[in-house]
Amino acid sequence: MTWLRRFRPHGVFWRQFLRWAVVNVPYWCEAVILGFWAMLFMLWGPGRRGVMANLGAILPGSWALANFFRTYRVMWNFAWTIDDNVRFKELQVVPDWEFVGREHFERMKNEPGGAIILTAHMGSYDLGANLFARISKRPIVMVRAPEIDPQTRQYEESRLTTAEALKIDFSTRSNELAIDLLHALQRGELIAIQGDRVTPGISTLPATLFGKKTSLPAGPFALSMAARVPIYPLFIVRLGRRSYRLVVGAPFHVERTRDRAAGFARAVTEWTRELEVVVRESWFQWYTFAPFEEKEAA
Amino acid sequence: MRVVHGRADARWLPSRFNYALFRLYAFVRMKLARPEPADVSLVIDRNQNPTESAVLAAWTTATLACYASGTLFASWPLALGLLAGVPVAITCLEIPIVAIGLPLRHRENNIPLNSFVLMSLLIAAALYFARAQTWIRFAAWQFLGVVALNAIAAGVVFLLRGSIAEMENAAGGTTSEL
Repeated sequence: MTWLRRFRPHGVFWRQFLRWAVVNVPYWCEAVILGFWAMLFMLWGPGRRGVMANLGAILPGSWALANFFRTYRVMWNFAWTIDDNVRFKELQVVPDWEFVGREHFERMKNEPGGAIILTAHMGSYDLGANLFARISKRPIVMVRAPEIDPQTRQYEESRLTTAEALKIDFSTRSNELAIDLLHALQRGELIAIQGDRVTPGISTLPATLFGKKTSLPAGPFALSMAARVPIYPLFIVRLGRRSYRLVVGAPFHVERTRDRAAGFARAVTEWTRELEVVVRESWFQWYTFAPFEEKEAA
Repeated sequence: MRVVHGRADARWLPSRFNYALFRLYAFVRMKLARPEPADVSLVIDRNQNPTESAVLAAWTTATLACYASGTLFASWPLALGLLAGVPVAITCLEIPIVAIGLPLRHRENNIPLNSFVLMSLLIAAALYFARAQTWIRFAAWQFLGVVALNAIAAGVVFLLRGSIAEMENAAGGTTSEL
């Protein structure tokens, strides 16, 4: 049954199929075809239920039926985002950009030491990192969760074409990675990490998001404290077809004090405040397909 | 890749549009537009405009849905037939893409070929249904009418090519990575 594994949600078939579609579907009918595929994404039960649960927390008092249709909007945006990402990789199709918080962006580009870019699963993270590396010309290390499926991982690695200044590292080899990233920061490089959801095996910090208890990755905060570098919240928001907004927030530091837990808690609160503002405004493109709320153990 | 920085009104540059009708409309809009300073980077690519893409997608799907409604679902109430025609239309759009894309799957980019074949098939379908005795001939005629208008617009755009190039140079596009 190994052959059939490729058709699972994380299987390689869907990546190959997406690549095939991107180099075959004419631009003028992609809206119709993506709309149709977004409808098929709704058949993915766990993902659909996860988004609906999250929408219930983001939009308190919202109706389940309304959230079902909102979930379609999330899937629609997700379809466009993965399409844009592959179109950039395969055909070098670049979207339009608008900037919010340019002063923070410039400050980050010119930061004398290293810096941490803390971002979320919104818009096109990969596309944003690639383009950012091209504009800034500064070395940037993008930390991401590896593909679950080995065939998918192999396929993605074989098609990996990134800007010269962009390196990709995976969040699973936590101990060695932490040291590598610390060295990169000390060399003045930028580290881009997604700080809105955790993957199994990584250390976490408790947080409150939209009034619900959750856990966020501890890595970016621990790195910031250890390397004494600022954290820049950065979001890539999809505005429409081939159009994105880069939102850069004011930097914050993780203070190194005797009470480490309090320092982390302050930084996490700062981050969740930024995250909540952006997610509440752009809930339709927060690609978190599992419920973020942690249920209390019975 | 050419990019215009700092001018939101550059979204109307004709080179950001694919079809002549849209290019002509963009030319007029750009002529009338006032400079809009904004912190944006706009890429000059002929498929960049979202409205053009959405209009074309909706128009071709709606036309095909009319054909499906008037043939496959002719005995159904019109509204229901049109609704049922939409998934048929989407399937009809996908069949030629799959038929060409599968045997040529090792090519780097089949988009221009698929686009040409799909548009040719849509014109052929319009020519066929234009001779029908039922209401679907109107759907076919409007399709052929728009194609004819686009051909006329292409001639006008060709004559205006000098002014368009001048307009685009004045917008100050630079060659950059973003």
